[in-house]
Amino acid sequence: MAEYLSKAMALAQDAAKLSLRFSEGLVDNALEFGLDTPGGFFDNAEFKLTQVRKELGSGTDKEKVAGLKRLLAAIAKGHDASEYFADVVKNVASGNLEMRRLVYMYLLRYAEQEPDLALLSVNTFQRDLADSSQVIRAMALRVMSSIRVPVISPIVVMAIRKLANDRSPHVRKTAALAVCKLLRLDTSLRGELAVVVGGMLVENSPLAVGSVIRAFRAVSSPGQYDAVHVHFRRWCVMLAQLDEWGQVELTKLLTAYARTQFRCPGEEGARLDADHALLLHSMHPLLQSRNSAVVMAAVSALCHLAPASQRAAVARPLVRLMRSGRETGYVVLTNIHQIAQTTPAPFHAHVRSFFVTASDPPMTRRLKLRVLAALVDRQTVGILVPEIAGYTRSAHADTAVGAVGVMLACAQRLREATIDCFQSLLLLAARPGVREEVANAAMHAVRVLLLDGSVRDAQDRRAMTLYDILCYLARTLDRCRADVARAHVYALVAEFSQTKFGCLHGLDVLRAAVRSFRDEGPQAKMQVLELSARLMCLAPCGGRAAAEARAEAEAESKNTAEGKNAAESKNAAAASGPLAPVLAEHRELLAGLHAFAFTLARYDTSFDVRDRARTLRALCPLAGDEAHAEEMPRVLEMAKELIVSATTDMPAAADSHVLGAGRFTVASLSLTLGRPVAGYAPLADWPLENVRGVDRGASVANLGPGPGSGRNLGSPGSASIAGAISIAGISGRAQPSGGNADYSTPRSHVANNEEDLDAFLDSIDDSSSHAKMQNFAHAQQSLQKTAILYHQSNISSDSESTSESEEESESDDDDDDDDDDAAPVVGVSSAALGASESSESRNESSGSNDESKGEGNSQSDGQSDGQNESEDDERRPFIPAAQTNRHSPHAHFKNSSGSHSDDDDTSYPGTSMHSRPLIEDTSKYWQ
Amino acid sequence: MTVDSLFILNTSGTPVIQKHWCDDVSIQRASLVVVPAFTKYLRSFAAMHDAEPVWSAPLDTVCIHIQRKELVYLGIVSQEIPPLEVLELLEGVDQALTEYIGLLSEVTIKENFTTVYQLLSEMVDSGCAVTTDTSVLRGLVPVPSLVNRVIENVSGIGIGTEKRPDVNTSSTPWRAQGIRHTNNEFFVDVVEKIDAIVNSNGSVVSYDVSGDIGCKSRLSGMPDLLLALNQPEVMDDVAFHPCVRINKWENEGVIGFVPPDGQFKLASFHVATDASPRTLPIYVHATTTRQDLARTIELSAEVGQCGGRPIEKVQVRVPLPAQAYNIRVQCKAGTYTVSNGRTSQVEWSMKTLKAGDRSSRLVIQYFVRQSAVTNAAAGNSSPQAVSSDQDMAQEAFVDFEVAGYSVSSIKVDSLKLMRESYKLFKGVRYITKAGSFQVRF
Repeated sequence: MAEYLSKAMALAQDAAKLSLRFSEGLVDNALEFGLDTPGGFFDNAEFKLTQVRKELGSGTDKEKVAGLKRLLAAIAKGHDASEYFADVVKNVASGNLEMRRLVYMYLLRYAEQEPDLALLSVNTFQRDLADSSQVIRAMALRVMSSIRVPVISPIVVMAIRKLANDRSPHVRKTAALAVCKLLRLDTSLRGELAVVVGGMLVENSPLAVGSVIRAFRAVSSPGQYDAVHVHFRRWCVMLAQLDEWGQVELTKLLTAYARTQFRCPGEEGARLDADHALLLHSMHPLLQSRNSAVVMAAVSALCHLAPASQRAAVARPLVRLMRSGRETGYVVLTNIHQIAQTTPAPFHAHVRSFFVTASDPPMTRRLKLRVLAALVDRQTVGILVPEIAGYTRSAHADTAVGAVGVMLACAQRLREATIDCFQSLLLLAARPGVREEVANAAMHAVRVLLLDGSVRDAQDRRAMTLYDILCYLARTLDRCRADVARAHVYALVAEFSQTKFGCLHGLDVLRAAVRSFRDEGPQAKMQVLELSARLMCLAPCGGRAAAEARAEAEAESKNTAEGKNAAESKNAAAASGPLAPVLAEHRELLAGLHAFAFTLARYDTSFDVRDRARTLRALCPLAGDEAHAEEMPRVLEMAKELIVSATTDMPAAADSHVLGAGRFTVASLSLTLGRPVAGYAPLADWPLENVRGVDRGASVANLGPGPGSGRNLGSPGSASIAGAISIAGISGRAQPSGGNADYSTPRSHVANNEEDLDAFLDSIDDSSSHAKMQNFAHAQQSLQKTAILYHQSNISSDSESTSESEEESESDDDDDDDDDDAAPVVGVSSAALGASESSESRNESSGSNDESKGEGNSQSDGQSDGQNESEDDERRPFIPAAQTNRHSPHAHFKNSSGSHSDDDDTSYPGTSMHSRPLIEDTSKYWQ
Repeated sequence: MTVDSLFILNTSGTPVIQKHWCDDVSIQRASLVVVPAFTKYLRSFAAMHDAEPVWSAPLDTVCIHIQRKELVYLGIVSQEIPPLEVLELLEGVDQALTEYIGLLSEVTIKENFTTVYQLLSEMVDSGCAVTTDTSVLRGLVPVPSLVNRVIENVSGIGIGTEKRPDVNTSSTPWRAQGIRHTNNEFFVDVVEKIDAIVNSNGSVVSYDVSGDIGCKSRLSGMPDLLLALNQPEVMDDVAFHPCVRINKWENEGVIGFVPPDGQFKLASFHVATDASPRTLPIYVHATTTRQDLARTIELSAEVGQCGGRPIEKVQVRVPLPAQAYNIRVQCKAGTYTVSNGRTSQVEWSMKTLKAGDRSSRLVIQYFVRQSAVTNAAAGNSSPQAVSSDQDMAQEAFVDFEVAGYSVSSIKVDSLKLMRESYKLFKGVRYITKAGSFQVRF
């Protein structure tokens, strides 16, 4: 039996082999005999090109077609087949339509190279222009206008003129398209063609209107819409009936037209021009098209033309398009991203549609998370936060990093969520086993929140003080290995070096950092150097003379008596900062650490670290370099100020790639790419008033259900609203630094944001939102004050009672307003407004303001001394402890971290934001 | 404002078809610089789908591409043009080619390359999309068929000469005059898709139902149809074929249209649903355990609410992390496959899943590479503290189909024929499918 089976098997195999060989043979034979297999033309095109000439010259259509196919296949593969031009052109008059099509394809590809031979074919085309079949007529014109030979353009113009009035809409459509092509070839024909197109605008066939519009857009110069008036209403009504590509063209034209005709639609209640309303109304059916380009064109029109209330209609179609596929979804998401920056409200209902699924490609994930960050709002936060918390554990690093961005947005925008988000970020940054990128991003967010004042201003801080937070962060250094995250912690320690934390533990942190310097990454190393330099500068160095010299220098620069007084008082404040006594006590230790760190850095493997060390060393010389100090004390003093006042560079977050930083027209390529592409022209600005007295064609009163039946009169100023909208668009996502206007202040040498953030803090804390700080010493003081205010658990009430200046109470009012305002954005913009208001008066009145400020400062300094007695109590036991520990300071540090490691087995709060208070125990632990 | 060049590439990035609407310099630029650069860009991704569809190419050009089955359609532009126009054009080319050639691949494209060129020259004029409607194209370019090919070979002349091409310039460009069928039939397919994300605790994170109404029309003459749905109000967002009269839908809630001949998509819609519904058609539960380096995932599938019908073509796909090795799978119902690519994944499929079926379980067990764990814990004092976010599979993708069930309970109430007097045969089918249905562990 088995034998039988195996025999049968062998037989079957033989048969299979035989049939295979047979079929191969057949193919071979076929090739030999010239019978081409279907794909053969393509695959063997180059081998048989030698035959082509013979085939094209033969008598039968069949052979000619075969030869042409071979040529086309060669072209498709990218070979040069131009040498057969003459042989091909002589077949242009063939009666066989298929063959003629093939000839045309060849002709169009090579006409540019062989203009003389191409002219031979023109006669045939001219004859065909009078053919009875509309398809032949159209084809002849299409091919003739596609030949890129300028010599024949007069003939083509004649042909277009003739066929522009053809009875077939298909031919008229071709004629309109021919205009576009001809214009690209020879722009000098513009005037002539404009006349032809002007006559074609009366086109009524839905088939041809789109092409006519395209021709019109090509012919007319931008901004010239006089010819549109008469057709406007007819076109609006017709829009829904056109073919899809016609709808796209017409929508684009009408959008550009409307921006030159109607004034900006204000917010609710403003009445629209009847024609404006008609246009908006006619856009709505397009939102239901199956063609994504049509939907997007209509969305663009509504976004740029409609009042805010009608703009909400775009959300649903956009979300539908987003789901429709990978490629379309990507482009639509880039648009949603931009629209949601300015008008997030319509998308709030769809927030779940932007949840990241594991199958999304990276670009989609990235965009979805950006959109989610833009959609953070009081309504959505409840849905968003649990979901986002899950993303931080995602297998994709970019998802987790993006989730951190959303959390940051939550914390910045919603005061009631700030603390929850902040705690989550703290825990995330220090979570064991967390990915490095995520830790970096989380720590970056923590730093941003600490610096921009969000945490301090948050409601319900749960008795979490800056001191506690910094203690916690310092402890994370034991576990966290991520370079950038560590750099952020060191930077924070440096930035808050004059607070209670800095006084008590700044040196400790530096000591531990120097000890582990070898294992740090380059970013962290640089921050350690900065921290060291800053502490060095803050330590009083017996340079009383230097301080005086500085005071003189500033007095000179101010050149007024008041300025001198102010500067002196500031210097006094700086010298008596809370940090000074501590540092003075440990000056030798500090100098040793400093020298050690800089010696290590000098021989570091990283260029950047070596460079940074060299720079800082020049600004803040080591003990051995003191010789320099004698030479140019003032320079060194200024350098010190620079180091002390400048917040360190914030390393860019991983997520810093800004997409669509500028604002582009919705649906444009420039928007998707985030940069202007050649040929991009932004829409015109609204005119101040509706253009009146133009005839926009037949009245279609019953078609437009628009609210404005007549022309509207006098609603709130349109230009200013337009301005306001665009400003809101820019500031909508801006960090609430409130100090954007501050770039013009004299502190130009510190070009990073944080300086502005400090200014923001000042403007609220320091009771001087009108008197902006103007120099380093002041900035430094503000840091002090920030610190002091941190120590007081309640921010405003105490300081209000003690300080009496009017400005203070004013700014406190502002502060309260901020608390009351539902939307944090509003608060921000009001602060920004305040800043810009004050910036005008700042320059003249800076002297007097400074004076009053100086007084205020000294007052509050006194107050802080009084109030911080309890703090002093805390400090006292520390100093002896530090003294005892000085010889083995490490034990103290390590010990403490050990005692807390088990308690701190941080379970990430995840879905429930109300986790246990995370830092409650840190204060006692640090004592 | 136009597309410069259009390329059809195979999956390895070699051009199969190229068509240019620009001057000679740009042609050389596109084929010698831009396309090779684009190919390199595509290959730089482990999964080609991760490539951005709109990509800034060298020499101030932009590559806009779509990927369909074995082919990549690439449009090269150098001027501002809405990217969706290009994508829609490429999509239209793909659809037209599918209709003309059938199954698209490099081989079939090569076999029919003259048809491809003819179609391209009708669809695009000097870089501007003219029409992407296949019913219009059918009048201009003859559809190749086996019969045509035989005639062509015998007579030496294409069938194009037999029937003069013509364009339908009537008010219904999608439907030609004088169509005749011996049997007048009209079929409607209502296909609904569920997109959902289900959390590990079984709660539904996001849930969306969208659907398509596909039609197949074989009707003579110029029929005017009126299709009524039982509850049109649940559709909160509808996109229609151009043949549908949108005013009638807005005012009366019925779909009135003169259908094109053959197969077409009448409408696609989105259903207003509860964001977190109480029931799903299928439930997939997962429990994960970890012990030292071993990870175990237990999956079970259960029928939820789907009108008492069995769930067909159930497929559960679990991508495993890169560190997984020594994968073992036990399965009580259905079959499974383990694929080992760059990352492994387990695919579990069942032909049908009936209500009350308790035996449909799958257990996946794998080990995590030691090195991966120590890397993650590098510098960490206590290796136990490493939370293994990344070494546990995180989600499963579920695919299924329920025939005869409409999850949104949208039904076709009636289909009325007007303007023609013949009797027509009507048929309606309902299918509910999984769209992107994801279960998190």
